[in-house]
Amino acid sequence: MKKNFKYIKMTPEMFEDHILVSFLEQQAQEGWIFSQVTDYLLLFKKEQPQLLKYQWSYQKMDDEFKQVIMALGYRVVCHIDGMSILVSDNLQAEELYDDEQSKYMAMAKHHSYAVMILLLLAGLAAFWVFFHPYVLDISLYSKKLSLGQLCLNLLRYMKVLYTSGLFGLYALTSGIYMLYMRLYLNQIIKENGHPSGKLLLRGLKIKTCLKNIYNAFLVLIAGVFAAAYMPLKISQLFAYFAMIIYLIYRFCFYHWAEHFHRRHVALGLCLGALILGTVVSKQMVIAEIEQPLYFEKNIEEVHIHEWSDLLTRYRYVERFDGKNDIDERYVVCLNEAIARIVFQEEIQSLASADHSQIKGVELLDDFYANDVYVVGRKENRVLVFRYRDTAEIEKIIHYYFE
Amino acid sequence: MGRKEFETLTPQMYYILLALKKPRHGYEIMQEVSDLTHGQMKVGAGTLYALLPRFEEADYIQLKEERERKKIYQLTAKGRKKLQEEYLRMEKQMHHYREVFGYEEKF
Repeated sequence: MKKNFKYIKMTPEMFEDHILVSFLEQQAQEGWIFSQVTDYLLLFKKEQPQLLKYQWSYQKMDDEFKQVIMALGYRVVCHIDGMSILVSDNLQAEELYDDEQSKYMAMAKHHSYAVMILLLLAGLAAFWVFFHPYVLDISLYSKKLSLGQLCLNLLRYMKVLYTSGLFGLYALTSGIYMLYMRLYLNQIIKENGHPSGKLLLRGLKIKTCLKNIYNAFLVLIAGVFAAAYMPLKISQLFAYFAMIIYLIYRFCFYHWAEHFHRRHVALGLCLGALILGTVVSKQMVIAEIEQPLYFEKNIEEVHIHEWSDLLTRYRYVERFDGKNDIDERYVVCLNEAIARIVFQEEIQSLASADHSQIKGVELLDDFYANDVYVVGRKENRVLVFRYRDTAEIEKIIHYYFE
Repeated sequence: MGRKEFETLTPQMYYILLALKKPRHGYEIMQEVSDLTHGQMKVGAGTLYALLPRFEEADYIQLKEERERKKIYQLTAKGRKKLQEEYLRMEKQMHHYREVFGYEEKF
């Protein structure tokens, strides 16, 4: 079957406009018409071979500029990182840039300090939330908490917490890349000199390299999640991650920075929103936290250094006694029984644990166990097990273990 | 050692500033440069729209008004002075050429 489209990955060299333009024109002559770019993948559609003229525009695509390029016979094919690729059927259409320096001036505008600072701040904030999840903690026994805590907990239940680390990585690396490029472009513009192709290419290589590392990281995370969670979790992870990237990075930063022509206004507004958000989030509210439906007999706090060990043991509980045909209704009870044993083991092994170091509790997902909740998992900190103790469990424990 | 921004003007910069003796928007500037040089010099749209904000920051031009979503710029006194400096610089270069090759040389 004949293919109607194809994808080609952009190499760092292709960010050099003349290389990309020549490549696209050559593809058009072979009947592959460039139509879109997604995540540095160029999409081509099969059509009749054509002679087209492509141009790379670094200019902000406002109404006035759009009218001018249309008058010159160009139309916009797509946008990449705030820049645009234009095409014209007229091979004699005027070049957009006839002065190298002006090109770098336009490029510098895409590496604004405001966006850079916002990215770095957002990245650090996301990492902070990721590494300090106790800020999201709520106590199941307290109904009074701050509005911020409530919102953050809602976010956590929406699985957004998992994505904060990824977003942090993305935002920080993007911010560092932008800083590198901006400083380099400033130097070229100020000195009115010719850019060093090597340096520029190095910047672009850093960018694609970061993107690749980031993608690899995503795949790794996906693998970890695939091993530890259900496929549904993976889809959730990517869905929320995509949402965050789209909403925060694309919309807020670029849209705000572009909308308010002066970048410092956008930065001021963001900082203002941050201050206002902080003040509002500190307001105390009375929230109805849903209490666990089961009866909690024991609540203890212990330090556990290898939470994954517990999790591993716990995940295979259904095969604990070597039988595959355990009645479904007993599985829960078995889980509880095992949790109880593990819990007691941990208590004994960590009898001298310094409980004053306990920072708080965090209610995690239910993993594969329906009845035991692991509380706190970061920095080898606190784990709290809650388990119910019913007459039925006692019977099951007796049946299986005694 | 590199030069400072706008220490010397490129031909495109020079003609853009010349075209802004009268208030004009982007597309009009491009046409005026072409008319002024009898088609010998053309300013690319990308070059023009990258330079205009820079000129504005440097105070060489000012935004006069915005009409039908088009920004109309005009040369400032500082911009005029910059053009004069550029003219004198080029005149000096011509003078030096004559000193070297003689005033009688014909092209």
